[in-house]
Amino acid sequence: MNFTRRNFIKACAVSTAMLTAGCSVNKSGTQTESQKLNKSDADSWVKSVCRYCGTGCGVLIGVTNGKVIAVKGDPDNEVNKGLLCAKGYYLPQILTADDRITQPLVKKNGKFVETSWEEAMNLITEKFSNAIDEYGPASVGFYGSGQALAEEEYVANKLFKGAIGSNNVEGNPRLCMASAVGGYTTTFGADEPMGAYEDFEHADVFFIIGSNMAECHPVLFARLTDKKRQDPHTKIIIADPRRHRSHKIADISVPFKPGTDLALLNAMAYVIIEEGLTDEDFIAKHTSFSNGQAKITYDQFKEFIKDFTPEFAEKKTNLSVDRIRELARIFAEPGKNTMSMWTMGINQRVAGVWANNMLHNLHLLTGKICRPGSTPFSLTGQPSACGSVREVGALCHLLPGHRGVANAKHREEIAKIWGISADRISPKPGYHTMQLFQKCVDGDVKALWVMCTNPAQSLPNATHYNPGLEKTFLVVAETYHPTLTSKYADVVLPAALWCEKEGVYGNTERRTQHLAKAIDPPGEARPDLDMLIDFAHRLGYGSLFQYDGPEDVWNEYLKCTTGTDMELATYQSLKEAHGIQWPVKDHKGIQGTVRRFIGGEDPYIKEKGKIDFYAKPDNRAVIFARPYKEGEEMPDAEYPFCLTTGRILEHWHTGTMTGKCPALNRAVPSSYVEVHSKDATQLGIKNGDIVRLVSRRGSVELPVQVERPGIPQPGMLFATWFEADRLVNSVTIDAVDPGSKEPEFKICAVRVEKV
Amino acid sequence: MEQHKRLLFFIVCSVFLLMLGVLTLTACSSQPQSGEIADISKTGLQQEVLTGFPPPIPHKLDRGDDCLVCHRQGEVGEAPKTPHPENIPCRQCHVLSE
Repeated sequence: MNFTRRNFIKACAVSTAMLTAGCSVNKSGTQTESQKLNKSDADSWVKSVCRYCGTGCGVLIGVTNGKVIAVKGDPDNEVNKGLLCAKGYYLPQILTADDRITQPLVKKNGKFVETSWEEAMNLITEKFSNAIDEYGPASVGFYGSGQALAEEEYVANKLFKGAIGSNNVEGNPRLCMASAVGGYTTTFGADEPMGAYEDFEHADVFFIIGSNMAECHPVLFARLTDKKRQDPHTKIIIADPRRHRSHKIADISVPFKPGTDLALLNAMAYVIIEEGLTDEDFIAKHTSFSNGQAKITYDQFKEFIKDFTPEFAEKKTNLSVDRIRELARIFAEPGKNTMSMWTMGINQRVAGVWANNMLHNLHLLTGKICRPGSTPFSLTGQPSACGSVREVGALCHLLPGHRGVANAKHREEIAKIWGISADRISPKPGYHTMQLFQKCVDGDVKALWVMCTNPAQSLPNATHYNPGLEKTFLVVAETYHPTLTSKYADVVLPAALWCEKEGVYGNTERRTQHLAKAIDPPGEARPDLDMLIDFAHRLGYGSLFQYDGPEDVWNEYLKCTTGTDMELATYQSLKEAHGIQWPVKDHKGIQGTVRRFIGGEDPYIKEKGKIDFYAKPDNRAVIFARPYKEGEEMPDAEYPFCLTTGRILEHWHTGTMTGKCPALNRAVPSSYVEVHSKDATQLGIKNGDIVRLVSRRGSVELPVQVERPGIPQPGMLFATWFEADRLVNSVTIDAVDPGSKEPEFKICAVRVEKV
Repeated sequence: MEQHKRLLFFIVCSVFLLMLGVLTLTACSSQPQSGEIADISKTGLQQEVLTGFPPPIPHKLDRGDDCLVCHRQGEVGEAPKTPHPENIPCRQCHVLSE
């Protein structure tokens, strides 16, 4: 072992938990006195939010001499109570990476040349104007991000939908949580979870499906393990085709066959009804039934669910009938509180919305909803997919404040706030994400602005769509260059990153949080908000974009939420508080709302304790009769393996940020494919071998890891996708859920070739 | 050792393949033997020396993935005792460094 144990012990002897304040972790002999930093050593600690996942951990950023020297968890933030994960602790390193760009780049004769903002913005304005004049507003588009600030997405949305007249405003949340939106809006009439992290402390049963919290939401997982430690009777069910790090605390593991979970969910509903585990009073008072086309009766639903016997589910899922019945009983046990959580395993599916509906069904049939510890709760992958995209309405069919472009009243309300005539907003939804990039391939989208995301690496079937990026006049506003996307750009704009600007994020649990500016951006890098406002002025829409900074933009956006069921907090409140959960009635105060749809907590319900799904016209949530559907492309003789993709704790998304941290890279240096040992033996491959995964769309070469860190079931492969040079998304399928338009990253068929 | 070989293999692969991480890789490959953490570029700061920073794991996980077997009470071999045995997902904060 190269590491000397003595050094380690010496270091650890003086080390303390990051949870325990006041002691010093000190690697012996590696630093000068001036680098031994205590809390007081930073000139200032700035309140902010972690840049990574949807958990929304509060952070304090230590700044000395205009440099970020440390990041620690904000002990006053309810989300994480001072805790962070490794990615968070290493955040300062992403700011100083050498591939940050500090000046605009313009591609000339195939090469990127540094240029002035003036020249870059003029070129962009000319190209967009020409496209709009010649081919109409639908020939231009915007592709944003759940990592952008709410103000940035708001201005982009207004510029394209309200000023230019193009509803081609999309963003990467389409790839991760569109199906969850579809589930919430169809079942409850309103997007976003009604529950909160606080429910962890009250739940007796956790039903976790299609989610590896230990790696994707580490701080939430820590909160879950803490709950389990304090209350050993807590039951944790983890339903996943792959055994992963979250299983460490599982009481029951449910390894269904990939792509068959809809059978499991409907069979659980079957058992709940058959064994009389329903809450009939709740059903009678608060629910209605639908088959997706029309209302049906409870009896018709019972008739429908008769096909989904545990025996049927056993055949599909490979789970035993007994196990399926046991799950339903634990989920529905009277007197217990049950919380279900899910992420991409449910959402990134061609039947993603249906799977979401089925999860809601289980809660509605058992009445395990709208009380502490009982709630269906989807976890979001990005820090502000909710706050900046779902709420701001920065998708092709939406408008701010959970409104839709197809709704005339909604268009009028927003047009009034935007200071335009309502007919300027098109009633027709723009191109959804996969359409948008197909239109780039087809040559119909002439100019596209990409902000704060890396679609050339994150889109499925990437090798098909990436040539379209080359064809289109592409503006990439990014912090780093090159990325797989900025490589295709015509203009790359240097964007300020995270604490180099200020604004607002909104996390998974409806918590809106202010990020203060801690340091100046390097060189000529600017906040995306400045770029977009500048662009709007150059296009001739200056009068609509008279903002004096992000607070001004927030104040206008706030008006879009007034009188809706998602009123937000004022900028001043957000600056003071450590996150505020909406709805905030009349924008007053910093208390916010922990749970929605329950009187006493939800400010829109007068009667205490009353459950009211007021976002539905009849005040009832819908229990949907949804049929069984498998993945679009299940394994067959030619492509015998089911490939699913996902994350590992140390890296995030396309690795543009975590890839900058030496320690994280050393911990996990490369993307890899996990293989079950039986399959490895059969294929004659071992750890470290390189294999080629081949699908109908493309191929990728990856090093093999046999059953580590996770264990996929036989016939299944799991691959991470953070590494640019191993483009796993050249293999994945671009089939989308017909409702949510979210692609099915989680299931495609591949074969394995030895290299 | 097989694990060691694999690590070397990954590092060699990375040198050729991690297009986006030139700086990172330089840092990685220049100092892997000592177990020291590379400086952050430009600031010259080392994060691991900061107050409360979770120390990286300075050894291989050749005894399995359950850190607390050795580190809960300490003194199993020479393993130091964790100050927070209640936090069981150790690798949430502590990253592998070897």
